[in-house]
Amino acid sequence: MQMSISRTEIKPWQRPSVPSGVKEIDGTGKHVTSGIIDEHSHIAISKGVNEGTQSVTAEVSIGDVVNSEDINIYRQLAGGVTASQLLHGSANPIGGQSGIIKLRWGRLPEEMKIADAAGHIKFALGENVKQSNWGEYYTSRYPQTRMGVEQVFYDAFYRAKAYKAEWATYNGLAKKEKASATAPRRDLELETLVEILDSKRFVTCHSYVQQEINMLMHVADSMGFTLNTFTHILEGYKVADKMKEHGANGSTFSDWWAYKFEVNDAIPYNAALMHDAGVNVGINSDDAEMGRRLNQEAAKGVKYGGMSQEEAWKMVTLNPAKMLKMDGQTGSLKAGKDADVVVWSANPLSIYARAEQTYVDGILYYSIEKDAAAQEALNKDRNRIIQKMIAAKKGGAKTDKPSKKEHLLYHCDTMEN
Amino acid sequence: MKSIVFSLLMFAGLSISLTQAQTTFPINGVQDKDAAVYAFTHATVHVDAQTIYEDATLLVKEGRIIGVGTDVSVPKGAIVTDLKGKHIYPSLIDAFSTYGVEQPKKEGKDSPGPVYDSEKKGAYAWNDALNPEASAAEKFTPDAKKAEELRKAGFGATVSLIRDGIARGTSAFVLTGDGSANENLLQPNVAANYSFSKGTSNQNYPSSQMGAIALLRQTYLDAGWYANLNDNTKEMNLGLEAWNGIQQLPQVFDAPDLLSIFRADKVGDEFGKQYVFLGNGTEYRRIDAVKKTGGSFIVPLKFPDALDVEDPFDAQLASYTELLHWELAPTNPKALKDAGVPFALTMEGLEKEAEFWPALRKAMENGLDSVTALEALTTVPAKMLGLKEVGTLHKGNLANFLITSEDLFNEKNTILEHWLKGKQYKISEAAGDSINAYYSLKMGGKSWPFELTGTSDKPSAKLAKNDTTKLDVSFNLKDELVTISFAEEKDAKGKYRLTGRKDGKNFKEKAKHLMARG
Repeated sequence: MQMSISRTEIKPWQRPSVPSGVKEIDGTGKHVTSGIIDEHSHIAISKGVNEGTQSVTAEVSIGDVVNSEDINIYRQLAGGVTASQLLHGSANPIGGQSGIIKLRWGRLPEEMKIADAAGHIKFALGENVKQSNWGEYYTSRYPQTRMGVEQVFYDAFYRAKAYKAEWATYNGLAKKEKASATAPRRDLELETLVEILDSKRFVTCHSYVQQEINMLMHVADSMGFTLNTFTHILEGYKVADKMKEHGANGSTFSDWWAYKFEVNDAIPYNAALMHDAGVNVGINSDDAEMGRRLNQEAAKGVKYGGMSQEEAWKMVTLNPAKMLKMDGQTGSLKAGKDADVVVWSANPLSIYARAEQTYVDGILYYSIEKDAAAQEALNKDRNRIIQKMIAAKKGGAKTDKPSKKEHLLYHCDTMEN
Repeated sequence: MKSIVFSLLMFAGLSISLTQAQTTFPINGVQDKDAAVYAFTHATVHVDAQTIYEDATLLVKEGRIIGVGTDVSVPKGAIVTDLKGKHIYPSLIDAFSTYGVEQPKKEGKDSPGPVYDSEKKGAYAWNDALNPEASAAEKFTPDAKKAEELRKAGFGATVSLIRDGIARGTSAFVLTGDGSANENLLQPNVAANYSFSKGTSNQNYPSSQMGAIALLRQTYLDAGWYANLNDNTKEMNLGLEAWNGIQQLPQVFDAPDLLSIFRADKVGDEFGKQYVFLGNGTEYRRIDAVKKTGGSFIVPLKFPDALDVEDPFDAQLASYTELLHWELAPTNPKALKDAGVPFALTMEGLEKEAEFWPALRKAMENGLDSVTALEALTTVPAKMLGLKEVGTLHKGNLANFLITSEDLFNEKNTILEHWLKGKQYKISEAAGDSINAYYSLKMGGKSWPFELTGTSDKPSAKLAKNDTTKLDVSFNLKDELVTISFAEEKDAKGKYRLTGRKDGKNFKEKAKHLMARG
């Protein structure tokens, strides 16, 4: 089969002739797919993944602190990932806005962000938001119980509605009246919540236990908005029908569990069961290391749930693209979509498959050959500078001992920065 | 033969100049103000980095430059210093400093738990990381020891701030002279300062940089709303009032790394603010984006030491980024210059003042030219922060200047003197400043032959009553002050004790303010 990639997009399948001036890549024995999309990632974030100091922090945005220099961007390109939703952590019920990026390694943060991506935001349920494991002093911030969590959501959206009404009243004033009235104070937190009510911003909610999931869907139904995606959702198989009815997606792990009490009921058939119930299901990483092998995580849908290979593969490509409202732009190999393409050495659902080439917007950002050449060049240059430093020391220059650097990898519940 | 003339005055303090500068401060003691005209002649005067006069004269009176150039005539009675072979430069300015301003320390919390509400007294902003009302000028207290170190390094003035919080209030422009805060404070409220760091605030919010960014944004909005608020039922907020009061000043942003600088720039763009950025020495990595911020930079000269990588296991710990930075950090000032980014240089980031010159010379070895270097320490900071009457040696400016033995950037250079507002601070004696000469000491109707030998720092004097009788004399010359004491007869009951100023290098001029007792 042939296809052609222009600088930015995939052109219709053209057979049999290859247009002149096209660079041909021999795909014999290779598999070509669209790039993997990680719906739940915490790579490429600077100085804090959580602003968990208040129960509602809708005003903060991971998009403001994209770290374009995180090596995990490159490592994930090597795993075939081309786009990620960088989510706020799960320290509070209403967390911060997401940063949605393509892995344009080497570019600046603003250049990595997908310019016209729909707005997204993180909500959270469970232990973290009521500060269960924060130690004995964190007993004063509301909420401390699951009942309180529900009230935080209600309160936030009541306030958002009042805010929206206040502005509507002000904006509806006649010119003369407006001149003498004081404009309402712009509130970035409430503005963001109003966007959710207006279906201009979409919620990804950290969730484990089914009662809470039901609770939040009830809150959303009664306040007039939809929860776009439940993430983690390890008990999704229990409430898949209700999720379907509400219109929520499910973005889950394949088989990552047993790390805290509220994940006790997790099963590896979860993704397949939600899929069978008609929920749009994705597999995400929430972890810099797992983000490098999401193809294998998708494959577990076949192993445990007996999903077809195509449906399993969609869980890391087209399905998360739908959750992020960018399936018109990426998520599959289709004429007119962005040329986010991976060339695999084997069927990507095989554990033997390696991403050999990863293109984002038609630009080759990673290839095994390029990587080998770059590593060789880097080692050569390292050695050059090391020799220079040794010479400097011999020449009497002051020296420092090199020190080991620990890189903190963010997860949902990371409070440090 | 030269002459040394003492006019006898039985009561000191009678000769008070009529042009004495006035201050509001009562003097406990006897006034000793210096209203002389100082003329520095035959010097290479660097009026600014681009304007250099050879064999020129600089005239200084009462703290101000009253003349500079090659055709300046020295007024009668001026104290003349011949600076042949020496250079005069504008005194250097550090655009980002904490000199003389005590920095707040984090106070312990009442309980170890989280703090949700402001702990600040008074009707200020809701978050304790917002201190727009802070004023470095209000806290400014000269620090004699630190000032001396700064003067030694060539810095005669700093823009000092309280480096605490996300909004940090205003910085102050101060001299590094002796004397009171009033004498050394040049401009209060120089610039408004910001950062992403909440500093000593105990309040939880914000804990992340995105929180700091959100707080900054919300505060811009709140302050705009507050400015138009005409409703006493809402709130009174002195913090937001202070914020609104300092928006017209230059806005300086202290961000910890390059990406944070770009983030700050984006926030600035959203609210129509162009920040001046405190750089961090890595600007070379993204120089195009640095240029695109449109901001001026204040960059440190902190260059990393080489890593000890002889042992290959140690070498493994060194990241490529670190290795490259060691090599490229000293090229940073040149990279900024080549990209056309206006920048000032700061001591910020250096542990000791003494590290400044070696670091600057390292940058110059890596391509920073001397014109750009001098501008980055004088005219650029003055322009970027609106500092008045400083940075150049033009007529009318404050007499803040350095006298140097060589070109300022020459490795062999010694800063000899540092003058601030017309006050002399000797930094180092020029070696071999010979004072060998014969004088005649005249007092009343009498006259004695007087011979000086040695150097100005180690003088020795001989006084003769006549050709055969030598008199014991003690002679001292320190900080332009001359003291002489001797007895006319070997076993005389009284001694002559004279004190006065050295008027000019050759003791030609009349000494004033003399006391003599028989």
